[in-house]
Amino acid sequence: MQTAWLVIVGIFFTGYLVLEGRSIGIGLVLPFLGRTKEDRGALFAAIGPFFLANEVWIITALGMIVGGFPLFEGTLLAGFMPFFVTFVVGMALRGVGFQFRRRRESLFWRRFWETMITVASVLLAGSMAIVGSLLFQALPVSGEGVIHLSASTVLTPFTIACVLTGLVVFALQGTNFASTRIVGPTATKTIAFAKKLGPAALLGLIATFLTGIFSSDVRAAASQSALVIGLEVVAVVGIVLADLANWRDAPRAAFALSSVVLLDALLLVGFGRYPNLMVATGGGSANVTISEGAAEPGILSTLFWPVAILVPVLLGAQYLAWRLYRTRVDGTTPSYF
Amino acid sequence: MSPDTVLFSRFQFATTVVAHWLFVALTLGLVTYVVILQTMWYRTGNPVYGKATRFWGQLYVINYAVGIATGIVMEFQFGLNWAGLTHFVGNVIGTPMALETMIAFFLESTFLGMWIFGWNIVSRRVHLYLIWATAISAWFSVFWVLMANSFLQNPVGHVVENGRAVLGNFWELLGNWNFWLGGFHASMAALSTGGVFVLGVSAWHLRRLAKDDERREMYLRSFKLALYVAPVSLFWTAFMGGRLFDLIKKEQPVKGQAANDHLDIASRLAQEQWGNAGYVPPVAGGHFIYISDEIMTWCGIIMLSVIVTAALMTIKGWFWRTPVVEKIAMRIIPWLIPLPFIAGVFGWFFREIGRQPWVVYGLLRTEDAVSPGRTPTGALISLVVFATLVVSLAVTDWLLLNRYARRGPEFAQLGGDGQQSILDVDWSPNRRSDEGEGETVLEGSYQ
Repeated sequence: MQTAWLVIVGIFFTGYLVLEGRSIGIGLVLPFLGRTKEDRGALFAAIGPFFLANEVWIITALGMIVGGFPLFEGTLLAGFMPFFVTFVVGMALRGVGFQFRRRRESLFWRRFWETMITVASVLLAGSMAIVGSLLFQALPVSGEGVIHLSASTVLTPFTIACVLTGLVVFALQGTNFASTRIVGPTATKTIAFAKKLGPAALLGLIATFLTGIFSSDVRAAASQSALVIGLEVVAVVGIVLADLANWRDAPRAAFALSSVVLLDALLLVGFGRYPNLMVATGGGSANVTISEGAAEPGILSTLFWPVAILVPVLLGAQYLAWRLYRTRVDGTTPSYF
Repeated sequence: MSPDTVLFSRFQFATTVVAHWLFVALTLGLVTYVVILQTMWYRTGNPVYGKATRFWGQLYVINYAVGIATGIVMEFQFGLNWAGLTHFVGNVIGTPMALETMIAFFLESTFLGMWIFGWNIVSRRVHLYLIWATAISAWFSVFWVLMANSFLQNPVGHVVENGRAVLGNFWELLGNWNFWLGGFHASMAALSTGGVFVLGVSAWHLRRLAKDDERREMYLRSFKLALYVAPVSLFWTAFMGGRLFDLIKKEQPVKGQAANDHLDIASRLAQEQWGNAGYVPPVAGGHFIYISDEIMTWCGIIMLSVIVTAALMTIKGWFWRTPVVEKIAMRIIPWLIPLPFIAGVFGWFFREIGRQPWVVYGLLRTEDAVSPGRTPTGALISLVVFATLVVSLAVTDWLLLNRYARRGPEFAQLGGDGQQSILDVDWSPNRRSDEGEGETVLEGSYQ
C-alpha cells in the first residue's frame, strides 16, 4: 500500500514538473524571448489557458504527502524550511503575476509583474532543484527526524551544479513547449533559443556528474543500483536527443524528450535513496525510511480508494483543458493573462 | 520551545489565515452569484445577464488570484511551522486535507482556467457547465477544510496510539456536529459576503447613474437578485451561528464562558477540566473572545436590519416608488461592504483564539505543535517574509478590485480582448474572436 501511495505522489509530482515546468520555463526565458509585444503575447497565449490547471499539481502532491506521509511531510517542510519559503513565495508571486500583468494599462505595472514572474520562476526552479539535490545527498538528520541544515551542507558544488542544470532544463521545457504551440516568427525564435539551451543543459549535466564524483556520498547514491545508473544515462541521452530534435525542427519530439528528462530527475531523487526517503549523515537509525514516514496502514487503505477513483477524474478534467486549447497561437491570439 | 518562536509562528498563521478568509469568503460568495447570473443568461438569452456575468466574473477572478496565493501559503504552513501538529494529528486531518486538494483545489482551478479562457471558444452550454463545476468544487473545499478544522475544535473519531492520534472512524469525523454547524455557518457567511458586495457595488453605481441611463439595467438586476438572496443567507448565518454557540457551550465550556466574558467561571472550568486555571483563551486579558463575539454579532445585526428592511420594502414596491427611500438606501448600502469581512475575521478570531491554549482541543497545546528545530530568528524571518507578501498582495488586489468595480462591465477584460469590449458583438458559440490583444499605446515604447 505504501508503494502504491508513493506511485500516486509520484504521479502528481510528475504532473507538476512536466506540466508546470512549461510555465516555469516560459517565466525563465521571458527576458530573452519576450522582448517584443508579439513575442510576449504569443508566449502568454501559449501557456495562459494551462496556467491555473498546472500549478495545482503541486498542491495536490503536497496534499497526498500530508495524507499518505504525514510524518515525512513535517520533517521535510520544517527541515528544508528556507527553500519551501522561497518556493511558496515564488508560487504566490507567479500566480498573481499572471493574473495582474494585464489588469492595468500602465507600462510600469506590466513590466513589474513580468519581472516578478521571472523572479518567481527562478525561485521555484531553484528551490526544487536544491531540495531534490539535498534529498540525493546525506543530510544531518537527528534522531527525532529533525534536519539541521547549515550553509556548508547546502552550498556543496554538487548542489550548485544541480541548481544551474535545473534552471536550464526548466527553461528548455518551457521553450520547447512554446515551440509546439506557437506559429509564426515567435516560433522561429523559440526553436533557435532551444538549440542554445540544449548544449547548456548537457554542460550542466557534465558539471553535475563531475561535482558528484568528488563527493563519496553522492557517488554511493549514484551507483547504488543498475536502475539509478540507467536513469542517469537516460538523463544524458534525453538531453542530447532533445537537442537533436530541435536541430531537426521537431519541437514536439524535443518537448516530449525534455519532459522525459524532468520525469527522470524526479525518479532519480526517488530511487537514489530507495528504500529510504532521506539518509542521515550518520546513517543507521536516523535514516527516514518509507514505512517510518507513512501514515498508519488503516489510513492508507481508507484513502486509497477515493484517491484511486479521483485520479482519473482529475486527469479527465485536465485532458479536457488540453484538448480545448490544442490550437496554435501567435502574437495576436486573445489571452486573458 | 522558545515562547518567541511560538508567538511568531502564531502571528504568521493569523496573518495568512485572515487574508485567506477575506478572499475566500468573497470568492465563494461571488462565484455563486456568477453561477446564477450566467444560468439566467443562458436560459433567457438576455444580454443584460451576459454583462452582469462578465462584470461580476471579472471581480471574482481578480479576487481569486490572491485567494489561491494565500491558500498555497496556508497549505504549506502546516508543514513549515506546525510540524508538531502534523506529527500528532496528521493521520486524522491528513485525510480531509488530501481530499480537499484533489476534489476542491485541483478541480476548481482546472475548471476556472477553462472558464476564463473558454469565453468565445467553447459553446455557451459548455461554458455554463464550467462555471457550475468551478463553483461546486469551490464549495467542496469548505466541506473538507471545515471537517479538518472541526476535528481540531472537537476531536472525535480518533484513537491515540503511541502519542499520536489515528483516525479510528471516518464516519465519526463526518458526523461531528461542530463540523456541520460550523461548515454551514461559514458557508452562509461567505454567501452573505458575496451578497453584500453585489448589493454595495450595485448601489454605488445606481446612485450615480441617471434614471434614463441604459447602464442602470444590469446593476438593477444584480441588486434585486442580491436583495432576495442576501437576507436568506444572512438569516441562516445568524441562525447557525446561534446553534453553533449552544454547541460550543457544551463541547468547549471554557470557550463558551469566555465568550460571555465570565472569565472567573472559565478559569474555574479550566482548573476542573485540565487542572490548570491558566488554560483559558488569551489576548486582552482574556476579554478578546468576548469582544470578537460582540463585533461579529453586531456586524451581523446591522447587515440584517438594513438589508431585510430594504428587502421588505420592495414587496409592495415602496422601495422603488419612493425616491427618498431609494436615495437613502443607495447611500447606506455601499457602506455595508466591509461588514461581512469584519464579521468573518472576528468570527474566526472567536473560533480559533477561543480554543487556545489548545491547537487540538484538550489533546495538544499550540506551543507543543510548533516544528521542532525552529528558532525564533527563523520564525521571525518567515513571519516578516510571509506577512509582507500577503499584505502587499492583498492591498494590490483590493486596489484592482476597487478600480474594476467602479469602472463597470464596459471595462471588464474577462470575456473580451484586452480593453476591447465585445459586448456590442454577437456572442455566438464556437466563434473565435479576431480582435487584437488590445495593447495600449504605451506598449510601443516597451520594445
